Amino acid sequence: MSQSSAGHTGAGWSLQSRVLAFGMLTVAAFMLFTGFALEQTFRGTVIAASQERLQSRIFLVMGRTELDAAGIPAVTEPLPEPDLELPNSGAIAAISDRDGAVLWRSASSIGELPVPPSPVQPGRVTQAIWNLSDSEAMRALSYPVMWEYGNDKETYLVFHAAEPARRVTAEIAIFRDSLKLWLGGAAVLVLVLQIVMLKWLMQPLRAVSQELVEIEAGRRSNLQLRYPSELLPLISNLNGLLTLNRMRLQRYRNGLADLAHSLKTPLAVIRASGEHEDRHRIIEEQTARMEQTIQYQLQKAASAGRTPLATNVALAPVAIRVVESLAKVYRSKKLTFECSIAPDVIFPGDADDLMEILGNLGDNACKWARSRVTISAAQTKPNNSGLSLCIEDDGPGVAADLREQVLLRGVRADTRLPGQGLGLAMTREIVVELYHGEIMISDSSLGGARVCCRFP
Amino acid sequence: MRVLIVEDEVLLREQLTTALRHAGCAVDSTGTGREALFMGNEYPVDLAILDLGLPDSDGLEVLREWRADGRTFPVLILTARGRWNEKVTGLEAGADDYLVKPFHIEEVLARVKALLRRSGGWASPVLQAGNVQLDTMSQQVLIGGTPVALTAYEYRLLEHLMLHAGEVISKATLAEHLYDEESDRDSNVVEVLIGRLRRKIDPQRQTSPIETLRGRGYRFSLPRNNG
Repeated sequence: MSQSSAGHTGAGWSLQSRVLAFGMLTVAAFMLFTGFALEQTFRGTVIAASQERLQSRIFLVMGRTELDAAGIPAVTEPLPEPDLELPNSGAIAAISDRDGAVLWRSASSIGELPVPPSPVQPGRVTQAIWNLSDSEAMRALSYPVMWEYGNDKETYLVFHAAEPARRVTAEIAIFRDSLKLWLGGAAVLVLVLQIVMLKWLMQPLRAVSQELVEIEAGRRSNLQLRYPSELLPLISNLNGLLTLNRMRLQRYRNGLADLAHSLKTPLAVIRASGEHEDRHRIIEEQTARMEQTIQYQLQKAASAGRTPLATNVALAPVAIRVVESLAKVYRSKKLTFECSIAPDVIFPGDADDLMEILGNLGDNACKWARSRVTISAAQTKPNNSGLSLCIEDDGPGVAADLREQVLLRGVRADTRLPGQGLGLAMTREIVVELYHGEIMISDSSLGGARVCCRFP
Repeated sequence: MRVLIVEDEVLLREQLTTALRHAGCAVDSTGTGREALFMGNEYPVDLAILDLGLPDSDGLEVLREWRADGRTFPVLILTARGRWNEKVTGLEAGADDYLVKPFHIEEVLARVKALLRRSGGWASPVLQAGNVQLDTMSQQVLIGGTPVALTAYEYRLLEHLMLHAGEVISKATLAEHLYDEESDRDSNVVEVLIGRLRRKIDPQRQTSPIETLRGRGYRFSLPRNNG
């Protein structure tokens, strides 16, 4: 038992690794989901901003556009955006006609412009990605309008503006990088907090095991009751177990001491008898006494008593087993047994002790009964507590002045029948000493003795 | 009556054997569960005394196997612990009675006789049939109220016949139940014993308590006077 707290590898994962593994999974899932959602939102914003830029460029160009008499557009220089004048700057503006023929383009645009045929509906903005032959993909916006010029003439013009698609993806990439940094940092922080929380959570358990080590070492006798409320039932059960253990040990010690003491006396008598003429009789008497002592002390040591971790036993099944056994042993007496015990009656203690009580009392009743033995039991208090257990027979009964005596150790009211005179004393010991109950002998309505045990 | 004693403590086994032989039983004995299992199944056992604490196996297991193999002879279990739990478990496993160690030999004999009587359908320790009265405890036989002196084997034979009064018992079966494995067995001895017994319990040849059924065996044919 010593050092049991160290070196034991428990079954499966430790609590700590369970919590940590689950925590990591949760954090990872949360971070992935959050990252994805944030990136989606940001991408929308960036695209909207790009669109807005292109749109305003279109309006700028439109504001400086003049048509000549033939309806050919021209844009008054200088353009407000310097980039539009700079070749290959990436900022592009252009005007095309209905069929996609370019009528004007900014100085910045070099090479062919993949201007698509116009949408039918003027005023409807379309977005597109242009793949220019000599450079990268462009994000473009096209805005078709009906343009009035001269007198009552109008022509269909499409204004285009474009910028490199790279600009949007670059912004998103930058955002993603910083997102990773922040979310990663948050994840690490959460995990660290979790570990701290776990240590804090496990601290009382570590304290319990520390206290148990101290108990093992004999430096303390009980666990202190200053633990979180969730642990208190466990702690008080453990304390109960410890107390029980100590009580048992004490009882065994007392039993052994009693045993040694009470065996030494008859041994001394035998040894002292020497060549006494009655030596045979003395040995016979003293060995009988020793036998009784051993039987009594063994029985006493084996009984459990009411434990702090009280278990309850259904009474009827045990009673039936005992009755069937007694019926077998006393078959030749042809006794009638009556058991009136409701199926839900419980005995507040150990099944072995109950069997001992029923066995001893039942055996006694059978020994003396002429034809009938009855066992009855009922709970005396609500909530299945308190128990009254009575066994009656139709034998000669016990004289009133002997009733106290027969419950004492080794005293028998009558020596005609075999038995060691211990059954009733043992029962009294179990009922009174171990269960704090009472045992009484009275007259039975059947005509014989009625032995009743009451448990609190 | 043939009794099997299963007890690992040699001294106690010998004391029991002597006492039971003295009380008119043929006795086989062993100290191990394995042998007990074999003897219980192979010998014509009328009763077994079985110690629960055997060195090689649990006495309860031996008992359960006997019962599972269909052996119905009564079994008296001996237990050292004496807890009711143990007694009840033993009785449920098929024992008929129990004794807690230490015990007096007289107590064992009384229990053995009672169980044997019970298996023959007698309730009282004194068997009465016709004018024959046999006290299984004191081993006294009265014919019409007059004591008759019988030898040990004559008594065993009469007890066996009376316990099974009304049943036909073959010569071989009688020999088996009268003599244990250690004795020389000769079924002709049974004929001689029957002859001597008849002369002693029915000297006038009036009541013919023991019938011979040719080719089948013998029967104690006086009516039982008590249960």
